[in-house]
Amino acid sequence: MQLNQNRAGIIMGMQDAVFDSDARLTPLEERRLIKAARGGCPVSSRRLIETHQDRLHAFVWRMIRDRHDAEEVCQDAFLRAFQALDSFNDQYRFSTWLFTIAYRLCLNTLRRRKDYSGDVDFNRIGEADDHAGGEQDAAIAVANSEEARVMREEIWTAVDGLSGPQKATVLLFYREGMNCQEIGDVLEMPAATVKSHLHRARARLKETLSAKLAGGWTQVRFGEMAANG
Amino acid sequence: MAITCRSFRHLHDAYLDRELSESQMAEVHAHLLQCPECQRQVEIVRACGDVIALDTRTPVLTNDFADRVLATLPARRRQAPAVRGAWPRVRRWLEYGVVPAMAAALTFAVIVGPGPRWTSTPNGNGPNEHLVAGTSVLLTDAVVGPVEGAAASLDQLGRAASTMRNFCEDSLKSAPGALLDGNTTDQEPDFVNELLQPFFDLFDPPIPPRDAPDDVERF
Repeated sequence: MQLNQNRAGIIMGMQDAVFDSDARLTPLEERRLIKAARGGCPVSSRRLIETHQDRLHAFVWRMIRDRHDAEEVCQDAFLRAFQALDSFNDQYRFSTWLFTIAYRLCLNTLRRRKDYSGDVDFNRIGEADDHAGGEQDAAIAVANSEEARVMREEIWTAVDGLSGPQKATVLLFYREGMNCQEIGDVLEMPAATVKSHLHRARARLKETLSAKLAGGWTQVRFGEMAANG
Repeated sequence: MAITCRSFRHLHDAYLDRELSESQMAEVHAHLLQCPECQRQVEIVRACGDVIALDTRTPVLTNDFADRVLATLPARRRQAPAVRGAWPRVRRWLEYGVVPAMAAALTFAVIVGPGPRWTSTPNGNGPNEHLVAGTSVLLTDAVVGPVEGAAASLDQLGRAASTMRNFCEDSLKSAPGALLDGNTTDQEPDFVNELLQPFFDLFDPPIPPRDAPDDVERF
């Protein structure tokens, strides 16, 4: 199917892994760092920040879609987490707690925006490509073809049109690899509710993208080529 | 029973999350082979998942992000380092555990034992005096006996502490000078006295005088 071919191209084009799993801390290491950070050790505090900052920033940026606000939210989330470090329950992972704080701050930011429409400025996303680096080879050239780019844009537009809890569920499920119970810990809701959000998000994405991609990828590609002359 | 498009909509999420049994998966696969529309729905959701999961296009945080976060954190009070070594811990155990417990037991024995007599009422054998006598009898039978036994045990403990002290002193006197970091063997180690002083303050055991004058009579 044409859809499968373009999907493969999109996957091939995304060379870099989202996460460096080696940078994640083991539970024991994390407990030691938190204990030291409670005592005021700046080295341990810095290690905790640097371990989680990229993942947190990726999640926050995709939630609120503003670079400046995303950095502020991340900074605020870390500040609140460290201020309340004494009351942190070691039973949970630090990242779970950190993402919970960040999620609440994201919702506050979204509510404050009066003109939030869910539109995505893909020009800004294009600026981030400057940091990706890497050589262009045939596979990446294919993956960065126009149809793949259009498909990515359509998908992210559809994702940005989801509600806050649905969007957070989708991001945590697919980007962070969390299961419904872990997502429930972050979003402070039961696992069954998370599952419901995931189901509705998928249904909404199917409905939105089925209408946009009614004729398959061939029509999209030809449509773009016609527009470009 | 063959899966229809309607029934597949209920199984869609479970199929994507691989939560179906092997037989159910086989039935779903068979349906998808025959239904392009259901297969398309599956591919749309899978494509969304892949795009979301693998998209690396994220603005990079500034290099000084961690520095800025640390700069805004309030200074936290450094916790006192854990005390190391055996002697401080033993001393703390003695000061905060054993000594107060023995002091409490001794105080209890003094208060409830057949100690000071109560002043009698003006008329001698008044009710108060009988009451004191009765209470004293009860206390003697129920409490004094065990307390006396506890006091005897405490006395033995005090003697054992005295013996230990003497042993420590003798050992240190016979140790080479180098082991005492240059101190002479004639010097009495302060930490031994300091460690055992609470015992002796409590029991006042009979300690033979060190340098008793020759003219003191000994009993």
